[in-house]
Amino acid sequence: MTGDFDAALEGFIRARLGEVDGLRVEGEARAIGGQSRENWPFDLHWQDGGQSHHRQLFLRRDPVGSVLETDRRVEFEVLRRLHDQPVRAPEVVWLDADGSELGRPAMVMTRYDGHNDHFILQGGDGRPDEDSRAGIASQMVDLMIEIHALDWKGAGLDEVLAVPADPAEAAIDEWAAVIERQSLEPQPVLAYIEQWMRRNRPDPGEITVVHGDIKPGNVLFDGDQVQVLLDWETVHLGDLAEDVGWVTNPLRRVEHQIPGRWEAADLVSAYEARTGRTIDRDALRFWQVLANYKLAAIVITGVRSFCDDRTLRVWLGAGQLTKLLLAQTAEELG
Amino acid sequence: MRPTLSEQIIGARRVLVELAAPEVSDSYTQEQIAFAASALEHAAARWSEVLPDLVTDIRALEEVLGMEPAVLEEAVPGVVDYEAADEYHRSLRAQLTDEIMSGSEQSPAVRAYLADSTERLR
Repeated sequence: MTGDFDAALEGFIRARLGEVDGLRVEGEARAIGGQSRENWPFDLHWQDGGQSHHRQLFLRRDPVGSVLETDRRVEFEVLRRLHDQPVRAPEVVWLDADGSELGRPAMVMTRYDGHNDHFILQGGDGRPDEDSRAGIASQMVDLMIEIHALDWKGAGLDEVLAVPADPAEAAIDEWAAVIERQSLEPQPVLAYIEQWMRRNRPDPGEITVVHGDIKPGNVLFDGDQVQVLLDWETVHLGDLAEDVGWVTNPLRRVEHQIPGRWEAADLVSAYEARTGRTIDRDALRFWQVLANYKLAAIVITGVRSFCDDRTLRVWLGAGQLTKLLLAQTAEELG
Repeated sequence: MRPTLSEQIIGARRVLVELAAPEVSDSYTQEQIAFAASALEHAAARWSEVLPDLVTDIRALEEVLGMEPAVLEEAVPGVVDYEAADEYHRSLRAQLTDEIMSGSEQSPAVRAYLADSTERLR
């Protein structure tokens, strides 16, 4: 962290800690990972009442141009309410909801030890053996179940998240609006997919917390143990099958599956056996299509940020995703 | 003509990958260089196909929309004005999008176009 931002961050912290001595912020370079937020790990030292304090923290700030336009206040308030709930979610510390202090909306959270590895199930950086990888895959299902089992009313999540009458319709409406708002050109294939989803949407069922982006790349691991699930910016109330569809999306199999050992059917069977719930296969297919429609919306948002010179990330278009979406709905095309 | 456009793009990519990237220690910057290099690789492989694919898609869209083929070579016979063709293509895609949203997505012609267009989508 450098210059004006250092001073802004120190002022932001001082406003929350009050008059303390020896305040020191030790920051590193912007961390890799996360296309939607700027991530800055830092250590905070201060003295208060003769005691020395040290906290490992993590700042997540909205970038100038993102792939997701979400509200830091909602994410912060959800995580604050989840802190005493039985779920491995990160602890949030401070919020600059409107960016008036840190330049853009941001939140500070506890920084956890552990490593992050998007492709750990394929071996990743640590090269765990297949049994260890299968164990990690199994823990990822437990993590998802943990989220779906949350008592969202008891935790007060309905104070910050909308309760959809029809989760599938709400999801289509949300991502269709993103595509409408962000796309720089007409998208006939995505229009077709939207209409397909409207015709094939599942009936409303039980409402649960939906994380919206469960994947090893959003988890911190301690060896082969899942520690904490990060990145709750797409959390919402909806249909639990949405998360199951997200993690069984054929496009993401390399992140979530182990060929021949832990494939989509194994994942769904494990979920059903451990929860006693049945995942309707037609509904699952709908949510797998929705997953790629959502990814197309995210890519289109990235393309707009790139074409508007708001990000240095060079984005290619959503062509491959639209091809996959057509393949997923292919039997209707004849 | 040499160097071809592909050779120039690949040359620029080599500067990024072989010269710039090894000098960078910051992981965020390394990641952005990797994305830029990937985009250049894509451009080098694809640029020569863009105009033929555009014309093919225009003809397919005209057919599905029931329109007569437009003359795309207005200024120089045999040479397509890319910018004008791209603008025309956009207008055709907008028309098809409107038709799909108004409920014609299940017509055989629209379905056939969508199925065929998968091969042109990159």
